[in-house]
Amino acid sequence: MMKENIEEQDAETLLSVKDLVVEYTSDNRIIHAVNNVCFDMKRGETLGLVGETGAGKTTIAKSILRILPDPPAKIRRGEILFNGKDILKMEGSELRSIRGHKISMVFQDPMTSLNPVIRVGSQIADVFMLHRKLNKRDAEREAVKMLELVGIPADRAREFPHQFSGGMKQRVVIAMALACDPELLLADEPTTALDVTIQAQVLNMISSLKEEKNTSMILITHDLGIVAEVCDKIAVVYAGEIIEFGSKEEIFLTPSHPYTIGLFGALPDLDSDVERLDPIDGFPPDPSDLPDGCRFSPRCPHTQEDCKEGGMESVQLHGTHTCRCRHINRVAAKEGSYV
Amino acid sequence: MYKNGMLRNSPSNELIKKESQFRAIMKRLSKNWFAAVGLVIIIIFIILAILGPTFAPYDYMEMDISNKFAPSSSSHLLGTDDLGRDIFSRLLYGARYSLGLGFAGQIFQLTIGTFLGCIAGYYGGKSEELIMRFCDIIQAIPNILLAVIVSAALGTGFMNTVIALGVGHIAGSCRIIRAQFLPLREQEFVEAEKSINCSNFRVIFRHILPNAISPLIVITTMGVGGCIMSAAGLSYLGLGVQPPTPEWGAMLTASREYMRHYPNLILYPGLCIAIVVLALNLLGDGLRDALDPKLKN
Amino acid sequence: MSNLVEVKNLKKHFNTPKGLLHAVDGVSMSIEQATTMGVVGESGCGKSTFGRVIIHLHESTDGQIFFEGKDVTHVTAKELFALRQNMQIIFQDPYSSLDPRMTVEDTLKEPLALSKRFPKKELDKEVKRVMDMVGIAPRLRTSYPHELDGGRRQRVGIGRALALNPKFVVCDEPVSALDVSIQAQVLNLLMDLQKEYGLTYLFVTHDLSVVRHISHKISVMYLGQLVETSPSKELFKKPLHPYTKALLSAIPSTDILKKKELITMKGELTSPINPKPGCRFVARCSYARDECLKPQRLEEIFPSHFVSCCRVKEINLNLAEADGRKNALVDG
Repeated sequence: MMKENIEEQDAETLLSVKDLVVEYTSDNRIIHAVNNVCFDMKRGETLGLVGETGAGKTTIAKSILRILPDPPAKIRRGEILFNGKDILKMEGSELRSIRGHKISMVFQDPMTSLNPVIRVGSQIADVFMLHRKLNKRDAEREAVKMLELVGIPADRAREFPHQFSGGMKQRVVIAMALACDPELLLADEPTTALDVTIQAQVLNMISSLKEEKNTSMILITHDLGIVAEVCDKIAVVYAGEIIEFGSKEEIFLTPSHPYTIGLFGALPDLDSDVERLDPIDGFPPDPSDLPDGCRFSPRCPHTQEDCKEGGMESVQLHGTHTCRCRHINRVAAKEGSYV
Repeated sequence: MYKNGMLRNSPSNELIKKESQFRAIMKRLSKNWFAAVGLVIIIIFIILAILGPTFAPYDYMEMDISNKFAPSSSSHLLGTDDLGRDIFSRLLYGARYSLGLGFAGQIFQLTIGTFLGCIAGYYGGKSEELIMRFCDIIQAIPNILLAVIVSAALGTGFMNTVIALGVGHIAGSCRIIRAQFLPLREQEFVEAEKSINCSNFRVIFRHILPNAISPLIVITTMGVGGCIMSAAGLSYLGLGVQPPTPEWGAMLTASREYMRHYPNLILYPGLCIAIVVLALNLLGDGLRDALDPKLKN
Repeated sequence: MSNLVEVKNLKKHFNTPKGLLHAVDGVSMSIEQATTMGVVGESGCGKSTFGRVIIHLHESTDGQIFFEGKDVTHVTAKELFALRQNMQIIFQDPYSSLDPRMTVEDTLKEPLALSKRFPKKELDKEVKRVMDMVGIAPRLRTSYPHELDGGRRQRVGIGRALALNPKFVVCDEPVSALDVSIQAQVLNLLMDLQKEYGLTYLFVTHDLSVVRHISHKISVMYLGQLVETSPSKELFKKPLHPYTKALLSAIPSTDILKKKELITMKGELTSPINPKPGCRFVARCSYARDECLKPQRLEEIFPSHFVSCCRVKEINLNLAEADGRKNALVDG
């Protein structure tokens, strides 16, 4: 179990996830989507959840908001403490007061996040009317202000989503998510569907808004470049577990887990010249049939006999850096990195 | 030979099972209790239709006037009708006609409708316009009226009735296939086929159509029931299949005047129609679920 | 090294209800044999359409296409049949580029069977050869696309394209839909195949780090126009066109120690329907002047490095001094 920042677990900690386990049932198989995930977030921090498709990052985010479809998903165990209170135990109006208000989410595809038959300004105004209990006129006025905040001129508030480009739609979605000054923003691959220049603008905008309002953010992505630009802390997710956690500097300068090292090696880099890329052997594991012991061991170039037995505990490295691997010293020696 | 870690077998690779689509569909179908029951019922009726007349205790025309309106007995399982004919035997013979008309009518419209839909959906432009307007005309006339007109024009008899029953549904099938084609023809695999020198004909019938046809299978299955009912309507109007042919619908309508006193004349053929239509609908529903892989997850 | 494919002033326009869409507008390019020409740009730049026009999946509106020196802009059905065995395409989406109702074997057999080059009994042997070539395990022969993951599906797509040993392959974003670790596997495969068989690629993508890795030369497109083309590494060291500069500055870098300046572009993407003459980047360029509204030409600034911008020299004065070679910037 990861116990980073235990000493600082006070009013500074906004979110604390403990031993989260989420399963999906499908066709009599159990899919272990999230396996004993623990992490903490401080107020104002940006945490990057990095991993490939199917690693479980979106499931973690949706669990925080409790918007997983049940069935087939089931949160088996765990605690998600938000400002000290367990979200998993909340019901009814208490839960509704959190969703969209204290915690909001931006999804990946701007094409499908907006209602195509309602004007853009009205969709944002709805958020204000629902959570801040404003009347229609005030809400619409606030909506226009939000649009201008994200760089969309006021006269476009009366237009429909199909009249906007992809980048503008995503900005509208972000405006909706930030409308109520949430304490925590969950962004699930918010820029994957956008062109790289638009992506840069949107990321810039998110960063400046975050700073202005001191919003905490969990950014889900598979793009390590975005993580490097925007995040303070990084959690690397593999097969539903956080296999490495640390600050941006710790992860980028001293990656310790073989999977993390492998990810960096597999990336074509703008700044270096390699003859061939170094892909990670094999394929991500089937979440309904996870390997015993370390989930990464079938693909790990440094795997040992004891990697296939028992649960992997996380090892504390320097500072906030932790890693779920028993042999990091051996790995570091072989890879030429240092711990 | 290309060698690299890609060919190494990790445990998860073993889980990739080969399963033909057909078997997967049958498996999903069998899990659906209602659909399985529907399928079994249909199969039973088809067997009865094919083999029944061989085992029928009486010929369908065999009259026994002295014994008319007899109730169920050991010699007449379901009693006799107004002319002393054994109802049970007539039902067995009638299965051929009713099921035959239903299925044949649907196969007829399916073939033509699909072909037209393929042309309209794939080529677009003027041919699409022409075919769609043709469909508009057909659909502007109520089905039963169209059946009556065609039947009156062609005359009575099995094949003519099949055509009359099928004509109205052609437009529906055509539209469905065309609608399926519109997104499918934009898919990359269609471009890919063209890039490897696939002829248009092959692209339409070998590649796009198999992917387009599933909603139509469902609708056609359920349409058989409608055809059987329409056949009954035609018989009543003196068109379609004529007495003494023991088509269920004809039996139904011929017995209307005796409904009050001898309800079993209507009850049994009606029950047959109802059971077959219900079974077909259950099967159709189950097929739709089984054919849609997205519902699997 | 001879040019396998040459394109002169290629245009492709589409008729839409709103007007004439200039998808590709006057693009000229030469691709040397056994090399990779990368084509980059963002949505709406026309790069995918460009690739498809070259292999005749779309009819070109104007301009010329040359293959092995011969003019193949307009070909008869018979010539196209032969041409298609030499010019192939790998598609982006592994989920929609395979017929869901065909097994791996069926998909790979089809181009072989349609070419009529092989007798029926040899087809199985050829299919096995192709599967080996792209690294698909033999036991997956009878699998359907929905049973395979993205990386394997993409290999099937590559196998289908390479089954007849074409000389030229258009790769339309072949790794964009794949996970990072699988991307690397597939990129390595493409590069190995190029080395082994001397393949020539037109590699279309929006991902600049991928294109840098695999291409020898790169062309940048914006709204149907070619704005810059240069040897691959030089483009990143010395981008000359304002759009290229903005594009490169926008890429998020994994080097956390490097400081970066984001070059922002004004406004939004303009429409490719009934565009105004001249440079299409004018609406967003901070260096735009009146002369930009006139039609631009591709000028060679450094050796093999062409730019289509009338103000390229003024914008890049600092580079003129830094680079010691004789170049057009200094000659003015």
